Amino acid sequence: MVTRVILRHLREEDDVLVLGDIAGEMDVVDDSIEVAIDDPELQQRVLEVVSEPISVRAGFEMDGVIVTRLEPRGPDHPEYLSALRERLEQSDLRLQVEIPD
Amino acid sequence: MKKELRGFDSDVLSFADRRGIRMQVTNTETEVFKMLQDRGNLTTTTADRVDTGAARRFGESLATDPRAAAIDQKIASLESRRKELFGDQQPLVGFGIMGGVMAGAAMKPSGPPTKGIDAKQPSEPPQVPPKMQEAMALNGELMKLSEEKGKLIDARSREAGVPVRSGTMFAGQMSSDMMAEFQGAKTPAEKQQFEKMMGAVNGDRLQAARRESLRNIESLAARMDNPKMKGMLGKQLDDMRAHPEKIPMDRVKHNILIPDVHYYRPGGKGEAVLLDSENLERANKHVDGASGLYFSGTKTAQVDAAAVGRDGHTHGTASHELSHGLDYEVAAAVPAFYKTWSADLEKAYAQAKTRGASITEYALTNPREYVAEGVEHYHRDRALLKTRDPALHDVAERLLQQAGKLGVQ
Repeated sequence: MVTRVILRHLREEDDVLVLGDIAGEMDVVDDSIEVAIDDPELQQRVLEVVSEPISVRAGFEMDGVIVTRLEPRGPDHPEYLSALRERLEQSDLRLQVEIPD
Repeated sequence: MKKELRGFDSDVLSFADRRGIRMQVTNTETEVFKMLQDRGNLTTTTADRVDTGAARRFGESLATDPRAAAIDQKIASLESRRKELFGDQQPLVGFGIMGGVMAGAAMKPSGPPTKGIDAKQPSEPPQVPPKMQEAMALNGELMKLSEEKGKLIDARSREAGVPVRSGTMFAGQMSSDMMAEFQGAKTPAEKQQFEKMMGAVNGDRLQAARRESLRNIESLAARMDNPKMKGMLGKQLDDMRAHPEKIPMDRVKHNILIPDVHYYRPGGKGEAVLLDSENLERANKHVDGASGLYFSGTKTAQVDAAAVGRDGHTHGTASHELSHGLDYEVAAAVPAFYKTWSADLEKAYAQAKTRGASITEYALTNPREYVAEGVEHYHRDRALLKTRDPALHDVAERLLQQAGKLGVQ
């Protein structure tokens, strides 16, 4: 199954960020992601963000101590995309990430 | 971290403060490691205290073991055939033949990728000459036999009480310096210590393997025509004579064993702790990636320093750990409320488990994580929490409201 994620530019107008044109898209297929953005510089920056490992929570409890751990997960994990969206949107790339339901 | 916690209602934070909940930024991997050690769940290796008598007897029994001898014989026969194919280069290349072919097969077209972090590049399968194909088959056989011998050694080493690493007996030449690095030794002192352990575990076999290897390399150097290559090999030989730990050895032939020791650095830095394989696995499973802790006894929440971003946010880790504290302290402060609330929490959790979905996968671990994830996401994206798991939204909200009420009293 392919999940197509749309990346949209956010531009600043009167100190407010407004939604702009489509910057590109990402296709998530099983454990791989293909990024297609026309602007080569933006493509490179997005690839850098996408290449950073994404971890999800795991943990255990021992004698009254709760330990929260982060374990790396790939694009086939259900929480991967939302974590990636958060990371892309928090970067300085000014992108909105639209993930289909 | 403070910036992230400002998302909590000030009365809730006041309650946390009054109840003595403390937030700290630490190296949580080191903290978890210490905790496991203090509770006796992680012990150091015994490879640095090897009974050399037992190690010697173990080596002798292996040398006279008929199964080991049969494997050695088969290996010698395959090595001999490989030598027929490739001549004197073989003792030096070890895995080289197969490694080279495999590297060729995996090679991708040059140039930067234009798409994807995992884009599949089309590549033609390489043409493998028949001689190389035979060499690959030989290597495959050698690996199988080496694995078989490795299993035999594992079983015997356990019987003899000699701590050697499991499943590491493979065909090919390797120096003890390389082995030390594979086991995580970094500093000269650590490598020196590892070399001592190699000596204790292997005894005379170590010297025998090195002597034979040196002889082979000297013989190869003597027959070399190219003066440049000969000179380079001569320099390498001088270096090996001065530093025997750099001499590559035929481990399978000489039963060269690796002490079961790993130089493990909690948090990836600092002084190494010596662990055996079993304890290393436990450390990897429990310590690596630790990002937050909550100690219910001391009411202390810890967040890993690496989790704190430049903007002061911890991507929810601080909120999550504080939530554990609120959960524990509301239970202690208002047991009557907690009893009713807890029943509703259990019910919501059971429903989420049945559904197989909540705000995160981790929320489904147990009711404690369920509510902690709920409280955290209540502050991160309340609308999303309400959509994904309305029952969790409600129990998280009620817990926070109760803590807030207690905070103003």
